[in-house]
Parts: sequence; structure tokens; C-alpha cells
Amino acid sequence: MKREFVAVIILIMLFAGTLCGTAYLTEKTDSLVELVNYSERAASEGDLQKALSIAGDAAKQWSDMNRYTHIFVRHSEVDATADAFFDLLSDLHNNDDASGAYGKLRIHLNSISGMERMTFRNIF
Amino acid sequence: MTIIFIRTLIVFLALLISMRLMGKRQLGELELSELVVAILISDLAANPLQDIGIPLLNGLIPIIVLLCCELIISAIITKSVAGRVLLCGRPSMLVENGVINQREMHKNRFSLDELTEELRNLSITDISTVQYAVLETDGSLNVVLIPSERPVTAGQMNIQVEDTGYWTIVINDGTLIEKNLKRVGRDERWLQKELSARRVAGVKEVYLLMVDGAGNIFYCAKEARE
Repeated sequence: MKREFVAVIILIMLFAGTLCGTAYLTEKTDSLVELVNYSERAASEGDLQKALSIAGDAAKQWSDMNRYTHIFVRHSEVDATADAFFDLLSDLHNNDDASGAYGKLRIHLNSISGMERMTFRNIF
Repeated sequence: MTIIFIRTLIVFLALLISMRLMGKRQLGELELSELVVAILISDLAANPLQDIGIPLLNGLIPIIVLLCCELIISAIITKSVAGRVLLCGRPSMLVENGVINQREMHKNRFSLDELTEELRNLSITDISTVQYAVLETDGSLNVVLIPSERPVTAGQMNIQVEDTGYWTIVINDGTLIEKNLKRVGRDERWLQKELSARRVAGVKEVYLLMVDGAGNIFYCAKEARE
């Protein structure tokens, strides 16, 4: 019985761990999306320096999560998000229209946490 | 490439430990749940080996989950008759007193070709000599012959047979197993005496030495390596 009891405990702990991981990832990506939105608002008001600075902060936060994301998230998704950040920073730096880049980055960030959520759609 | 190498080692160790924890049954005849786990586990383990873009945890977590589920299901099967019936089914009597139970054959989708093949594997060609043929839940067929066809035993012939006990390996490929030496009630002095009688200098020159309960010895020297 001891072995089976340990198996049940491990299953519960694994499940709890995955839920915590999902919650952490969601919290982080939501805060990044908020920063991206804030940057977009600044860009739409014409303050490109501020928009670039905020976008740069968001990119740094994403980069700081590199170790975590590479262990827990598909690398293709991590790389795609990094590319989206670079595209945004490049557009802001060159004073180009960055609305497409903002949208693309938001989609990537939301999909990373969205894929991990326990929804009917994700399971099936 | 190095990553794939290291991942392969990690996944291999994880599989080895999982299979070891699941027990001997995984290696022998498989019940349904065990077969499912065996198939799934190898497929899941291979994913992060083929694509280093997939996190290694995506392969390890399913292995751990399957291991835990298999341990829990095995416990249910062991402790609960209802659980065993639900998960493994019941054995089916395909032949009883030389008569084939066609209903059970059909229910188990067991063809006559398969039945005769299994019986031939047991050197049985005459079905009328079969008292019981039971299709077990792991898919194996167990057969009991009618009494007149069963091999005669020493007890039936009133013959006294010496019980020589269990053969124990004492030296395995040059290595002395001290625990087994004690188990057969012998010591190193006795061993040296036996090796000297066979003109052997030491344990390292012995490939296999086995002793039974009656003190009989099976000895095999190591061949000279080229």
C-alpha cells in the first residue's frame, strides 16, 4: 500500500505543480502584455521614446525569464516571441508604424499562457 | 547533438527506473493496462529525443504520470476482485472435457487456427485429450490434460525420489557470492578445498559454480580468452 500511496501523492503534487506553473506563466505573460499595451498607448500619443523604453523593459523581462521558458515552454514559441519583441523594437527605433508588431507580440504572449490553461479546447 | 545524447541518457534512465518500479509483470505476460502503458511510454519518451525544441519535461512528466497510474491500477487489480474483473476481464474456458466452447471462442474472437496452434505449441494435437483449456486475461492459453494423458509422477509410481533442494549460484563469472555461500551452509575453507580438488587456483578462474541442497556441485571453468 505504501508504494501506491506514494504514487497518489506524486500524482497530486505533479498536478499541483503544473497548475502552479501555469499560474506563474499566466501572471508573467499578463504583466508583459500590460507593458506592451502601455507602450502602444505611448506610441499612439506620439511619444516614441517612451514607447521604446517601455517595450525595451518588457523585452528585458522576457529575456530574464529565458531559463524558465526554455525548460517549460516549447522552444519554437519562445523563439517566436523573442522575434516578435525584436520586430517591435526595430519598428519603434526606425519610427515605423508598429501597430502590426504590437498585435503580433500580444498574440504570441497570450498564446504561450493560453496553451497551458486547462480548457476544453486545449485538452481536446 | 550533445543535447540529444544527454537527453537520451536521461530518458533511458527514467524509463529503466519506471519499468523497474512497475515490476516483473511488465517484462512477462502483460495485462491490458500494462500493455497500454508499455506502448505509450516508449512513444512519449521518444518525442523530446527527436526534437530538442520540445522541453525534456514534456517527456519525463508523462512517464512519471504513467508510472503512478500503473502502480495505482496494479494495486486495484491485486486488492479488488471487482476491479480486476473490470480492468482485466475474466479467464475464459475454451475447451472443457474435450469439447470446444464455441460461444467463448466467438466471444473472445479466438479462431480455431489459433487454438490448434497454441495446443501444438504444447505438443497436443488431439483436442479430445484436453480436459480444460483456459484463455487467461493476459492472452495466454493454459491447458490441463485429462488424467489418463497426464505425465506420470514419482508419487503415482510409489517411487522415492531424493529431494536435492535448490541449486544456488556460488561463483558467477569469477565473482564469489558470499551470501549464497552462507545460504548453502558452506564456508571459504570448503570452497578452497573444492577448487583445489579441481586444480583451480582461485575464484577468478571459475565461470560457474553451483551447489544444491544435497551438496552436489556443478562446476564450469573459465575458458582461456584469445
